[in-house]
Amino acid sequence: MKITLHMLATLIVVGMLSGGGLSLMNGWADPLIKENQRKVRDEAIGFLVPGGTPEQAVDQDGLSAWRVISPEGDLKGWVVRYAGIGFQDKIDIMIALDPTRTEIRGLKVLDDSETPGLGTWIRLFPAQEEALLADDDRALDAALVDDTKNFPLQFFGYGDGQRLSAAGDLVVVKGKKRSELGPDQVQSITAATISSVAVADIVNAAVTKLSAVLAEQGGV
Amino acid sequence: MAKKQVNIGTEFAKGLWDQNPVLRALLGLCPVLAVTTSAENGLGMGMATTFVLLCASFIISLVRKLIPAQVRIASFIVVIATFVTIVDLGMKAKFPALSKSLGAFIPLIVVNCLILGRQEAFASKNNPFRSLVDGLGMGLGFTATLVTLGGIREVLGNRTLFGFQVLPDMWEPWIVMILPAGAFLTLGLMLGGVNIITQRREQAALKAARLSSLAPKEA
Repeated sequence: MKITLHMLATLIVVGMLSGGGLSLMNGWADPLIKENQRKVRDEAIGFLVPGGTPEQAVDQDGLSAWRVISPEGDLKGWVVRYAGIGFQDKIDIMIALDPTRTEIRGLKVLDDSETPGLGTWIRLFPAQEEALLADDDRALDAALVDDTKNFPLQFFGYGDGQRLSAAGDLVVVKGKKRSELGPDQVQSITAATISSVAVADIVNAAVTKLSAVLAEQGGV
Repeated sequence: MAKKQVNIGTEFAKGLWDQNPVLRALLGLCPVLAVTTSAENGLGMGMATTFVLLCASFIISLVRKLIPAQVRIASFIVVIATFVTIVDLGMKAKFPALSKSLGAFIPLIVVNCLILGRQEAFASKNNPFRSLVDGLGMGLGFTATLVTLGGIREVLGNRTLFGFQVLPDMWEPWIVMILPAGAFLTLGLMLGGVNIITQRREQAALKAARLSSLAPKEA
């Protein structure tokens, strides 16, 4: 009986001390973590549709969308955030749309666990991101690797200037150059077809869902 | 009979080579193989594990006489899980990029057999000072191995070390080094290298012992 009480008392004390310590730590860390998440989100919106103020329009069922308003009060574009399953784990993506939501203007991967050196080509790499941010075509040309590894640049209309469709009908095509493809076709990454298809599917699902939600809200 | 106390320097150094948790004891191989795609990831995981090892060893050795043997493992796990959660929250708050790249492997330090193994084998039987020294040696040995493994994989697979380019552009990156196969290949070669060095040291020590036994004894 004595040893049972000793065991119980030990576990209760250890559990209480642990809980107390974690509560204190969480109180300190939680605001910082939320601030980091907000900063990442705002930076991504500013990168995709620069020079505007985001106003959240949708936040339901894993879909978030913002209207980006210019200083003059005009609608500059939309940013949609949605996640889906990639090759190994979830891919979290932000997509920029034009004000009428008919064209895709950009794409940024916020989180993924794709295979390094293969599926990770779904992300812009730093030199490409800097060139896009500075709107510097020369720097962007210099940051190109080869045609099949410039996957995310297709969503910015890079190359032939052709914007991809935001009708939710994107399909992934293998073995063709970007210049041979239409606005509803995305060139696949070599040896990372599953990641390429996953990104196209997430984009399709996001724009389709956004249209449905906005129609429910009153056809914005 | 009183237990023979090992020199404190030896206690520290054993984790670096003779009882290195990865290269000699093959402990905690899951994070070792999974996160070492770069030297920075290896350093981050090594430091997080060292922090948990130090804190858990200190607390457990401090309260070792108060915990009944029947609930010692449960108590150790609660203590370890507490420090792992503290590290996880701290990294998310202060180093979000590193926390993102280490992913689920930070919370999984709870089940790293290196941590629980040191608590059961050492901290629960020794005073807080010796436990801290043991934890520091083991943690540094673990970190050094992860940084070396991550460094080799990053240099050959990405031409960079800690993010700085160290190989020329003409070097075609060996993608396999960043993939899981590269982790197994590199770790296997490191283990082979360590075994060769250890065998040579043992043979040299044996030879020296034989020679000293054959030497004429002074009258």
